[in-house]
Amino acid sequence: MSDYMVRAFREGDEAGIVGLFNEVYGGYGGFVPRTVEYWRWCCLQRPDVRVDGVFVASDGGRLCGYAVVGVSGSVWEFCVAGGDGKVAEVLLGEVVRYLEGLGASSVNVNVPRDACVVESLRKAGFGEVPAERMFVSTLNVAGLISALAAPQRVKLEGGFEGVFGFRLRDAPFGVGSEFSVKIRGGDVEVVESFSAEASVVVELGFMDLLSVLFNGASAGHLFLSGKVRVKPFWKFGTVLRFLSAVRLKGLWYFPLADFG
Amino acid sequence: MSESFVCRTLQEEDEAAVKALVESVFPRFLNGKFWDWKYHENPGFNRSLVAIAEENGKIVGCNHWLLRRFKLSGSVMVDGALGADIAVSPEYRKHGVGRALMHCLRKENAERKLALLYMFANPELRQRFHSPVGGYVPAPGGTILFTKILNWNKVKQNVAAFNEKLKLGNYAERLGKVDLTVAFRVHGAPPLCLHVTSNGAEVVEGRADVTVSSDVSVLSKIKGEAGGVWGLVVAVLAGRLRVKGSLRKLFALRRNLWVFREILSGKIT
Repeated sequence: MSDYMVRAFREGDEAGIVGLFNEVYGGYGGFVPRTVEYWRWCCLQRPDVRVDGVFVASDGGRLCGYAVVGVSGSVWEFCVAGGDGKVAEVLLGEVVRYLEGLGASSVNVNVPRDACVVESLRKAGFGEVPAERMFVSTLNVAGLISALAAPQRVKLEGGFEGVFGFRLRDAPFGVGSEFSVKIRGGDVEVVESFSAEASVVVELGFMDLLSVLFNGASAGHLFLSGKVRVKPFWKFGTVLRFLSAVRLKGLWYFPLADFG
Repeated sequence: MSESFVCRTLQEEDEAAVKALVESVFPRFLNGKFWDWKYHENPGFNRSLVAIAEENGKIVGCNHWLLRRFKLSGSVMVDGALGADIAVSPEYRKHGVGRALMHCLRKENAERKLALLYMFANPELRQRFHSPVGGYVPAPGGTILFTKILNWNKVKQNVAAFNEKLKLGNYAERLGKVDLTVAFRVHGAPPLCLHVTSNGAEVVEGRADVTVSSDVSVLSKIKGEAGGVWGLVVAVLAGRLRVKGSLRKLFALRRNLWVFREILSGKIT
């Protein structure tokens, strides 16, 4: 049976902490990778955090969890290796004791919806409350589409050959309103202009495009409601499959520390 | 006030004025160190990431970006910027300063070709400002916030504020003859007992006329709802809220529910 120990942060723990954070949360969208320099600024130097508010859990000398607790009651980072519920419970106990000692009114911690520690939080008397929401936009639609399409090469190999020209309505200040996507043999090239070679022309609103990419808005519904126009219209199925291939699907997680 | 403000990026000599402006608009910056830490000491700090609006040498608005490498999904990493702390002096609001500041940052940083801009805001502000001006849409979900209440100190402050308003006559017509004690038993939190009379409210210990039992998420939903008792009814039917007391006292609670909403609608955690 494992014997977990929670102790205060010591200089030199940073590398282990950063490694654990990147390992545990690296698979989520919204992830901002940690370096020692960034973590020291983001957590250790934060005016709300005192060094005695950083707790490290170890199992036989191996770092297996940590919590960065602010005197305001915000747990800026909470991370447990492998979602180990026992480690989470031990760490949460320390966090609550620390904040009770400081007279804080509450403890606030955010975690990914699918994390194992959700159960530990509920057991420890935590309840889910409405959180501030993240909103996204872009300055570089072509760059965004290019990044999203790059890992989808296999999906884009069949039936997508050609050049798609996109025209965006209501693009905000500083954002180009045209771009083209050239697909050849699974290779995707996105350029920031409307290509004269475009065999398919797609017109849609800037925010409609972002809603499809980030929120799972249905491109089919947008087409039926006249918000997406495709010329020639029988190419709509291809456009729909393209958007479906590049849209984001996973969960996003951002610890309180990433609010700013 | 004229609308002859101009926007430009931050210079070293502007920093004190920007800090003062931000501290006056956002209470969380009041400890004086926060702006220095968040921007000046940030490893990625660059003055071109801060825009200011200026009129006749006076700084009337500012907007900040923080550059970050950002993962969109398991294997997709892009360069992005977190937009934060748009602050505009109260007398310059609704004159396009916020919009001009946002445009200034976009123009000054156009060559960065950022594939992602993101920010955190309440949905109302996002709908009124960030979406029409910056084209922001909600990010994918997946993050949940948990709270555990350790004490009711903030509720005690809300009670004091309520009594102050009562003294000033704000609620004179609404608060009739009442003598009601309600105990809130919130899962994981110490008990809270509020006694309300026509003279005001107080936090007390002892026996209550009505007991309300729920978890913190139900309490949070109830306190966030502007009107009606439907939120309460739905929570009761779902078994997430239990209300116990004599019929007479339950009616008294119904009549004076606004008092408890008023007290709990302020910050409680």
